Amino acid sequence: MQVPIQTSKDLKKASKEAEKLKAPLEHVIYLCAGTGCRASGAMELAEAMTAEIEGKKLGKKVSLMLTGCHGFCEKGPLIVHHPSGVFYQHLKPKDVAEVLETTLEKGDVVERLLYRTPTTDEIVKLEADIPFYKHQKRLVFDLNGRIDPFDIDDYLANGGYQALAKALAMDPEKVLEEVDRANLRGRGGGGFPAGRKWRSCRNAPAPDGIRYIICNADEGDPGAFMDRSVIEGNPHRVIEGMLIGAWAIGGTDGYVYIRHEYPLAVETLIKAIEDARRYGFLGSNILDSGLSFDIKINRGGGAFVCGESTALMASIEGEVGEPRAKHIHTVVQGLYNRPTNLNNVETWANVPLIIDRGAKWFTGIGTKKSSGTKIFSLVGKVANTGLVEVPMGLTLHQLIYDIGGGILGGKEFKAVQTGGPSGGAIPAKLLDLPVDFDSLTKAGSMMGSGGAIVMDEATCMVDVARYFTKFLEDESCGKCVTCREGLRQMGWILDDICEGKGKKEQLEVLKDLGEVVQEASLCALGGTAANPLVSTIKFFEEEYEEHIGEHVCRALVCKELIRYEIVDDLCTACGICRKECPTDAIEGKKKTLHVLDQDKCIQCGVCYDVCKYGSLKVVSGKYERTCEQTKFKLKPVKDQK
Amino acid sequence: MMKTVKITADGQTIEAVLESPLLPALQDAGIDIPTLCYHRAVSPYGACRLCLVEINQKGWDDDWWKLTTSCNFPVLDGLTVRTDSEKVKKHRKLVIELIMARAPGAPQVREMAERLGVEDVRHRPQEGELCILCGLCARVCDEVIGAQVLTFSGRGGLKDMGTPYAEASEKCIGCGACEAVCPTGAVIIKDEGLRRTMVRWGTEHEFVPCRICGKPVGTKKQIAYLREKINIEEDIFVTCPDCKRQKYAEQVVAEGHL
Ligand SMILES: Cc1cc2nc3c(=O)[nH]c(=O)nc-3n(C[C@H](O)[C@H](O)[C@H](O)COP(=O)(O)O)c2cc1C
Ligand code: FES
Repeated sequence: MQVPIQTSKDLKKASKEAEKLKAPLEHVIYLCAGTGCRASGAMELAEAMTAEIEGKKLGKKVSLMLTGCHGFCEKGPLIVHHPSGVFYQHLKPKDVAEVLETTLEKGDVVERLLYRTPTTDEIVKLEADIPFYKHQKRLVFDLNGRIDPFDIDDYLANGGYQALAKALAMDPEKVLEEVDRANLRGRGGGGFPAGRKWRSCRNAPAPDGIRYIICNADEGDPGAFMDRSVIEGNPHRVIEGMLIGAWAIGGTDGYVYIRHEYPLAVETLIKAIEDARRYGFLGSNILDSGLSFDIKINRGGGAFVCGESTALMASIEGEVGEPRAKHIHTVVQGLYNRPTNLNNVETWANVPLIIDRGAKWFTGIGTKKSSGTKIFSLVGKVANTGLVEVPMGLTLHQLIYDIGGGILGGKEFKAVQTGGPSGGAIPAKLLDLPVDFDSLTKAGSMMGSGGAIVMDEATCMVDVARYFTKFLEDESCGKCVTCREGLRQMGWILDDICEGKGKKEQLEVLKDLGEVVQEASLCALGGTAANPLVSTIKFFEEEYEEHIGEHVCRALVCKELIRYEIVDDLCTACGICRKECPTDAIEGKKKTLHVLDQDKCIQCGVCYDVCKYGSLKVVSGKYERTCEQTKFKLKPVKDQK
Repeated sequence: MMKTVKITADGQTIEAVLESPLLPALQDAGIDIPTLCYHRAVSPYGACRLCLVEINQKGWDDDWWKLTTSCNFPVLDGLTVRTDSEKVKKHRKLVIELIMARAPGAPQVREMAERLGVEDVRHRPQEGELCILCGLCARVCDEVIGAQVLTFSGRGGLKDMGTPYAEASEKCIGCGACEAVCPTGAVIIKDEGLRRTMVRWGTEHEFVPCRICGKPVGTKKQIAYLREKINIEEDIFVTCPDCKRQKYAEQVVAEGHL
């Protein structure tokens, strides 16, 4: 390959060359080497796969490609076979020989390694037929799992940097108009129209000619990892997006602010930036357009608040990551007081698609006011968890049931918390809500970065509010009184309520706190921090009232309000609960009904978890749940007597 | 250079410097704005949230009002401000209630609460705490004195004000500006004879005695710092204010005129 690539004509040639170079062999094994799959042994699997291919001399027929995240991390290590599209999950090195032989040579499948639907236990052979993938619309994620993120040629072979060439041939204003018309809204939090932001930044005076283009890859929401996945799977898409942005906005210097805890993403990005430089996509006079632009990486320490735009910029400058009031916008005075355009990873990754296929195509996807797709991090009590990219406007029901496969263990759905820790809980009656920026905000939650935590009937909503409130209290920068002290007092009251010490008046205090934290805080962390509290009070006030008035937790979660009991006529006196109990609260002998001493019990629930005969139950007021009966062999002791 | 613009606050037209902080502009017009973290000598910080007002900017719908702190909001042409609306009053009360819980022992906070009409505090008090983390001490030390001794540490509920790593700082000159601006009496300084102890920051200082009466003039470090910074009559550094006044009076008497 002739590098650097100096003109768009050269780029055409280089892409053709890359296509030839990267033409797939008869078989390709796409092996996910994302962070999740690595944790479950993907690299050992890759080693075994390489050894097997070499050992069997299959090198001419099969290529192994280590890709970024496929989104279905819980099934890792996983592979997809090309051309058949067969999907294998939970692979171990010892499965390799069988998989290769059966799939490549016999054209058959190894059934035990195929995907099974969690609720109906149906076997699904092809990736495309797995419900988790079937209902997705993977645009940002299109190449994730299909290219080697460490190989720029792979990106070029798949149309990479063509959108950049196209944009550079256009007037910057026309590029801006296209993004504006596409109605691309920020994927990192607020859903602010990118086109509008770009224009303000472009119009802001830059006395020394410097305008910053920043990519926000801080991703502080616990449980969300779509930005990491995009970078790990397809880093050049983000770089290309930033380059197009720089052209449209007049940007001169780029930064990616990425969390330090993402070592693989950082490594991938460093390599991608180096390659992009070597190929001439970063540097001066890019593709002979006159655009000069380069990107630096800045590692964040992992504070949630540093994802906030002004705190992020302070952090890049080496200052304490505290937000400031945004009366003068960062597009006008941002990093080092220069005009600065900050967008989220996923936002940037959408840009090449828009330029490539046009605003009209983009607005055809999603809803009228929320165009395109959004990647969600679907976690919690759903059958299928992982990253899913869906067109905006899909209903929560479709997201949770069609893609997520419904609630685990046949339990009832209770709520879904969208938008991360500062989002809100949305109840069952709103399951038909379309997921788009405005509908979620109207329901008292938000899109945020796309977290979706599903909760079932065994989740206590007061406890949930307490959990998120305390997270936000810890993560608040602590600068302003309302956020710091307000959240602290809120947390204390929620403690009281969960511990059965709550008073009726405290509900009013909570509502006041919610209001003042929301209205009078300095930044958007405070502005949204009351959402978990406010939304759970709004939709689940009866749970608060039960905790306060009756000392009852219907989800059977709050320790001070629950009691464990032995179901006499089911106890087989197997003794396991007695052995496991850390406080010796259970007494009993062989063939003697076991008894639980409430005074010694600390409600840790170990007995409940270990009992296999359905003879332990947890009780709170009129609510109770009995543990699952998984063994029936022994007879209950009552009968034996 | 400085451009003056007109704003309206509670119906009153005020002239103020464009993009200067709104809070002092309102105060200068005789409007009472409560604050604990604002001081004209240093940059605004927006921590105490008491100076809340409602604003309506040029070009906004008439009935669209935004709640914001006035200390860090700029004076803009045609800005309309409400400092006395029900919403402002309500939120100021909720804010001072939180500050009361934070520093229940600070008389200044209690006074402010009374002034804003708050009697009962419904929150759990943090007994013994005086500091409300307004950061004035650090801003004065940094922006006015230039010593940069103090800094925030931690975040959320663990946020604290002090010297880096809570170690006694070499940079502290013992000037006491931090104590002077502290709105709640949280910065404690003990002076005994020719010794000064910065109790909260853990530094000890020795005073330079007045060459006439022997009473403290300033700490050694402070005087050394000032000598370097300003070029004035040497006598200032070694004479206490009382003796200086005395000396001056004697001079006037001796010379028979001012
Ligand atoms: C407390 C807080 C944390 C945030 N964290 C992130 C983050 O991790 N990643 C991100 O892209 N945006 C985050 N944001 C939103 C950013 O402030 C900003 O709006 C966004 O990066 C702009 O990009 P977008 O318009 O493309 O979404 C956060 C905002 C707040 C208030
Ligand atoms: S004076 Fe404005 S927030 Fe304190």
